[in-house]
Amino acid sequence: MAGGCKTAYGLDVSAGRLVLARCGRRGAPQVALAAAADSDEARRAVQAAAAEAAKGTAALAVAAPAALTAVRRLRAPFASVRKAAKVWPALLDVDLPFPVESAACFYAAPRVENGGTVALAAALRRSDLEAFLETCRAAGADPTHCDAEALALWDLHVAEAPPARADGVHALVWLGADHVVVARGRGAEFMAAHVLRASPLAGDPQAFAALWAGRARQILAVHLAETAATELDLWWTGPGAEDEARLADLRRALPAEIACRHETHRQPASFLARALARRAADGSGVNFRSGTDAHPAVVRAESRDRRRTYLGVAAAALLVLALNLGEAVARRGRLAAVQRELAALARSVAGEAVPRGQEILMVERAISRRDEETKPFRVARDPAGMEAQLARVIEEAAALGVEISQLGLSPAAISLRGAAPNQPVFETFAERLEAGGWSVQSEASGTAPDGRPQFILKGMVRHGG
Amino acid sequence: MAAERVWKGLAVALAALAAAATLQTTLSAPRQRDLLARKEADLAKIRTFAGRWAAEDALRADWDRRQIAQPADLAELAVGALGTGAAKISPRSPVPVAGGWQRREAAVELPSVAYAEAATFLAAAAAAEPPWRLREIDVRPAAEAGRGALSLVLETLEKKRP
Repeated sequence: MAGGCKTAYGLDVSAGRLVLARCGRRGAPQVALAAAADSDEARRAVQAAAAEAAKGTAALAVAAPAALTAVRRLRAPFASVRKAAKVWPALLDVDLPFPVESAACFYAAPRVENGGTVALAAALRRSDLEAFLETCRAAGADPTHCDAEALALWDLHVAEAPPARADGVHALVWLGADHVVVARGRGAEFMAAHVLRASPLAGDPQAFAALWAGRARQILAVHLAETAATELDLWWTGPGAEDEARLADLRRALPAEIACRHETHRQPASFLARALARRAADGSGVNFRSGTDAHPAVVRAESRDRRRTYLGVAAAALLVLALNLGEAVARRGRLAAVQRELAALARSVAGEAVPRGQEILMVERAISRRDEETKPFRVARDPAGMEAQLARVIEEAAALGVEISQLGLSPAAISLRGAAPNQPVFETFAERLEAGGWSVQSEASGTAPDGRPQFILKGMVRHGG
Repeated sequence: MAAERVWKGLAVALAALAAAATLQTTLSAPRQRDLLARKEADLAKIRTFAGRWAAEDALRADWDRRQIAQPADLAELAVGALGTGAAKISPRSPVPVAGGWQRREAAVELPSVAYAEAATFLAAAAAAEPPWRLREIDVRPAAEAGRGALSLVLETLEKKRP
């Protein structure tokens, strides 16, 4: 069932009477016109509705002849919607009085219940459909939708008279001009429909009364048996339901043993037209005019919808592409900005252009070089320098009574020859040099003439960190 | 029909392209992030080196501003501190350093000098602008206390002459 239309018309023509109902996507269907079928206003109304349908701005729905339409409740013995879809035609074929291959078929949305899959199906011989559509066209109305009458009636019945209980047993009797439809169900669920090819509005009333008494008993008894109910609600609608006296007769004709609560729908004469309009508007109805039988306006509209969808997809894809491109450009921009800053900074440190990707390497080399080049300035700024080192060594020696016979000092090394009062003093002196940042090695070199131990001490600057 | 097929083909192609682009963007995001992070880490590291030689550059700029380009005459400083003939000074070739300056060393021989006078000489040399700073020293004490032979290497900075 495809999407609905902004505006939909339901057309019911029978026994010289035309009812045209109009429905929007939201809201209840309203009667647009109820007039004699051969009147000018009826003709104009139908032409206008047909023109809107031809333009594709509205749907025009009619009901396929009920007597020619088979409505069945199919059940597949497995709980798989996909598998069941493959067997619906076979299951329907078993139950049809004509081959399913020769029929226009419609399968409603299936549902899984009690371990199986169930779906409603409606079928109409293609030749009957064509003949019916020809009749419609000849009358000036080429419908876009051809619904199943019993299902349309049931649908509006449940909408306008929702069952009080979810499992309430009820039935609908639609009294048409030339036939009667009895649709029965439980709660909102449709179970079956029966068509009486006679009407209380036409032909022999007594013949109808006899037919009614027999068939009604049969139908309602079966319904109560299938639903294991003892009573049901019986709703009346259709052109024939406007006459209270007629309704009373029909009710009296029902078997007394079947307990019924009787109700009548409002606006019964326009019930079918309103039902058709509502289902076409919300797209919930059957439409035998689909596939190769589809109305050209519907085909155009669907094609337009598809094109709109493709355009939407293309636009969305372009947007996504643009976003990706934007992201790529932004990333490249961020990277380029960082690279520019990196190159500039590396160049300012290295003093020359640096190849991409070698910034750290070149900068580290440049640092070594520049450290060397600027070292003399650091030396110049150093408030202490080697002068202070020299002074420290001499002070330590003097404090400990170490006599220096030779001292050599350079930025990286120290060498000392001398004599200490004793070995412990010499070792203390060596420790103080260590504490001053030298890594020293010492060796004794005999004793001085005055008996003091002599030493040779060499050290290297210890570089911290 | 043909037009619809074209539209459909276009939509499918664009959708596929968009999907591929999104996939590529998503998959490349970690690599791009890593690359950017590495670059930013390199940048941060190099930034830490900025100002590394600021003090040296400032010293040089200060000398340029005050037009201090040549060191004091070491021989004059030696005469002033040690007396005439006490020092034998041997200048060495200059070595270029940063900023258009060069380092110059001078070997100073003090055959017999009082340590106190030597200290005065070194202090005067270090106080000049640009200073003469002690680079190497070799001390050989004399028999007399407080005196000895000193071999010094002093270094200074001078602006290269154009």
